Amino acid sequence: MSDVAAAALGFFLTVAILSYVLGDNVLFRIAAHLLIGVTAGYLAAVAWQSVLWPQLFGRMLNLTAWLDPALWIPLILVLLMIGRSTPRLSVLSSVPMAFLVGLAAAVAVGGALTGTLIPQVAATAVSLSPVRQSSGGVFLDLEGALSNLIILVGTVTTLAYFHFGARPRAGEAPARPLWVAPLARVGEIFLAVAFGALYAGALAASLTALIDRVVFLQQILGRLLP
Amino acid sequence: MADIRCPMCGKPNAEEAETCLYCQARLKPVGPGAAPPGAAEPSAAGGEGVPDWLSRLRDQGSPTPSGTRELSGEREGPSDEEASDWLSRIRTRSDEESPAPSSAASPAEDMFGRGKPAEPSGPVPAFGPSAEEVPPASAATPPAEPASAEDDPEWLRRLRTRRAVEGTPGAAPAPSFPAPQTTGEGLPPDWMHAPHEDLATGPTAAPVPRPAGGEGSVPDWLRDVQPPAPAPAPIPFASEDDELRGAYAEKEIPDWLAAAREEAAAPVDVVDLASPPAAPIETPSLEELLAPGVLPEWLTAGSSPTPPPVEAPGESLEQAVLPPWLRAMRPVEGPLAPKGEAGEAEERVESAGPLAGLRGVLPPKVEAEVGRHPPVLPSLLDIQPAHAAHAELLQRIVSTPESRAVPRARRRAQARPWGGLAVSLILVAAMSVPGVTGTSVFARPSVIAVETLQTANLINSLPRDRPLLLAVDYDAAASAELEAAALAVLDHVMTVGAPIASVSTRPVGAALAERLIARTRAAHPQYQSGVNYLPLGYIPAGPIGLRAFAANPWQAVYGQSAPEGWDAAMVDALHTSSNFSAIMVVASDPAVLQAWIEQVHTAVPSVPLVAIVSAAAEPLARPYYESAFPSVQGMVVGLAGAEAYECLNAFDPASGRCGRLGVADSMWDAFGMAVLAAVLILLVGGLASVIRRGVISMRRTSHE
Repeated sequence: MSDVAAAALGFFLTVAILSYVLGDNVLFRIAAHLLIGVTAGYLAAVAWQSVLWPQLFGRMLNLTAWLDPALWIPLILVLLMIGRSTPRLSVLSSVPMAFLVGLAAAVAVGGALTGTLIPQVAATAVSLSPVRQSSGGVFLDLEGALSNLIILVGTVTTLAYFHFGARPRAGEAPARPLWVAPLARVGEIFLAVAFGALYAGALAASLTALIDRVVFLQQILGRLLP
Repeated sequence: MADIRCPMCGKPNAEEAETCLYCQARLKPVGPGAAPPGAAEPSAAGGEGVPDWLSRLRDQGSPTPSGTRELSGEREGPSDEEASDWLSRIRTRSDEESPAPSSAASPAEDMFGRGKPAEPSGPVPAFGPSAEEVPPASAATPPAEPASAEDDPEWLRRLRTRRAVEGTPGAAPAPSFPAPQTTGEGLPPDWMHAPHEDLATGPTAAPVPRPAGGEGSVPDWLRDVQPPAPAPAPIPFASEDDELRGAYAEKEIPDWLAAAREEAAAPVDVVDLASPPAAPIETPSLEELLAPGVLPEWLTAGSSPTPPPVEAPGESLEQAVLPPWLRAMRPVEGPLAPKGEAGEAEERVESAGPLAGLRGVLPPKVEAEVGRHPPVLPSLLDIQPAHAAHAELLQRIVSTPESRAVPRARRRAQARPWGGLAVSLILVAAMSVPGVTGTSVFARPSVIAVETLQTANLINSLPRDRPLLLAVDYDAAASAELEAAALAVLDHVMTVGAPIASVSTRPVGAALAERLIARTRAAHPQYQSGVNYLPLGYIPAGPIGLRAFAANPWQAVYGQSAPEGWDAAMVDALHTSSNFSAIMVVASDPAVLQAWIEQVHTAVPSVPLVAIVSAAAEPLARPYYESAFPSVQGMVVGLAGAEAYECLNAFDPASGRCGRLGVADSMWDAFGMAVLAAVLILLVGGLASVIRRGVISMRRTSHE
């Protein structure tokens, strides 16, 4: 019975969401509001069950846990953050907010350096020589060399595209240096290809989601219709 | 009987009470129309209590005969020589001109101005004219020459001369002699209480008999010079005080009053006050009246700018000097009343309260300020044309709000959904074709991507004593694509038998992980929660939480003892991130994968990381895989990767074909049809756009 009800509700919500193809309408708004409301309620429940109770309030029941600064320091920060709800005490929330922003920035920068920038820069330091040496001897790897060349050109030209420095000239509009302009143009092509690949991936993901819903509707209608 | 309330203490008193029973304040005003307080009381006790000044006044103004003095108990007054000269002249003239008593020609109006008609059966005062004796008001009395005209004042002679010429009819009023004080007890005489309004009031139209002392308190010279005033409303019944006063006056008629009555009855100098004068009476000017010798000394005292002439001793009586307070209370009914604001201030007589009877005590400003309206300033604004235009504009806006209302913002016309609807219909139709027809149009992928093979190889090498960390970091919108890939990989993991610990940095991730495990566990029932599957839940704070999770996964997620039934060895393994056999991140957002790589994989680089990402995230995730120092050791991308992985899971080496179908395979044909339709739509749309631009360009060229 619950499966039937869940299937009927899913069918109705799916049709309501898909009705947006006809424009904004009541069914779409009902489904959107219902989704937002359910999500908000679910978030509150998850925050209590997964964060507040096990990390803070559950530990407060243990008196010995109060000796741990990891308990009362977050509690103080939480209390200061509550002051954000009132304009008069909102200044108190600047302390935990500053703590969060500073900590997040430090963590993000450190991780980006070690996880993204250095490995990606190292990945572009490739050899353009087609001659490769292996245990079996020396051989030509033209494909690898071309790939490395494309990687190098693409990296350099894309970085050149994001070079926005321009010197002002008398009587003329500011323009990029002469050696940067063609590189930026090539980099624009690489960016277009990359955006095309992203669009293709987004289209594929969207089509997959649509297929899932269409298949679901077919299954429901197949159950209802003889 | 109605009570009257004391103006001072507010307590009720009897209506006939003169003074308050409680605070002794005067209840009845002494002003216009008020009865004298002691009019009805015989002056039996008036002798001892009378102050000297009052006795002196009585002596000067009333040569009372012995009989009267005996009754009133007053001491013998001064002789005729001691009286004032003008009183002596009046008395002498009365004796000579009016030997027989005659009734006063004035209509009924008592000396208090009440105009009360006397009762027919009531006693008639002997010194006043009775109802029968009162002649008609219109009866003309020929003027008579005074016996001693030389002794009369100048103003009186002029008046007599003028009236003789004009022949004004009317009865002569009684001389305005002060009435004898009957109450004694320190109260001022009645003539002082007699308001000038009463004296100025003319005779009433109704023939009401005048009670005792009706005209006696008004001097004839004052009556002559005052204009006739409207008559007060007649009072039908006389009060008991009037009766007593009449009875007393009938018995005790002083000689001077009798003489005054005789003089009033004389046809000389009579002004008919009952009827309006034929011609306006010429009132002497103030300067004339203030001239020396015109008015008595006591009337001119304080009013004349020049000191009155002092007569030689022995020629007349010594001039009486009124005390200041009495001077302030003197009657101002004469023409001496100052005009203007000062005159109004002095004419004001307090009628109630402790100041009753006092004149000019309170300034008129107090009364003028009560209820004063704010002054209306004259409109002297200089209105400029610009101001007038603005005012007119404002008036138009206010008067016609509907017509001047700001038009509502025009709703932006929605683009017709026909294009989107057509595309949707085409795509849905293309997707439905395989399911409806049951045909397989697109073959299974014959070539497996390298990253998918590496992922399968990694899963095959997973140990069974260490958990695989499954990070479910995608939203429900991407569940169709990522669930297919994750289900294929998890099916492989469960086939291998590696324990699984799920976690998520998104609140909905825990539910999606539970859904994944539930769907996979249908084919692998050996997986039990707490034994070989540990749902760790939600990691808050994004990258910060991931960093904390990399340091101590169990502390970052739970922070307390493990739930009951959980495998202790598995829980102990979760206290260090390096204990994970592999990290499998299922993400639709490349930023989430980047955070896992930067915060967790950099902390435990020895733990391999497998990325199951959406097709939309592949371009950004692939650099981490294809780098010289790869952070991702395996990838499964989108529905194509899921289909390839399913094929790997169910590959039949004997037939060389994929065996058991999975979720990805059920959508594969539809996905292929949809992609084909989308590509066709894109091509057709692009071609149509190119053709349109070409046509437009050709039209421009032809026009040019």
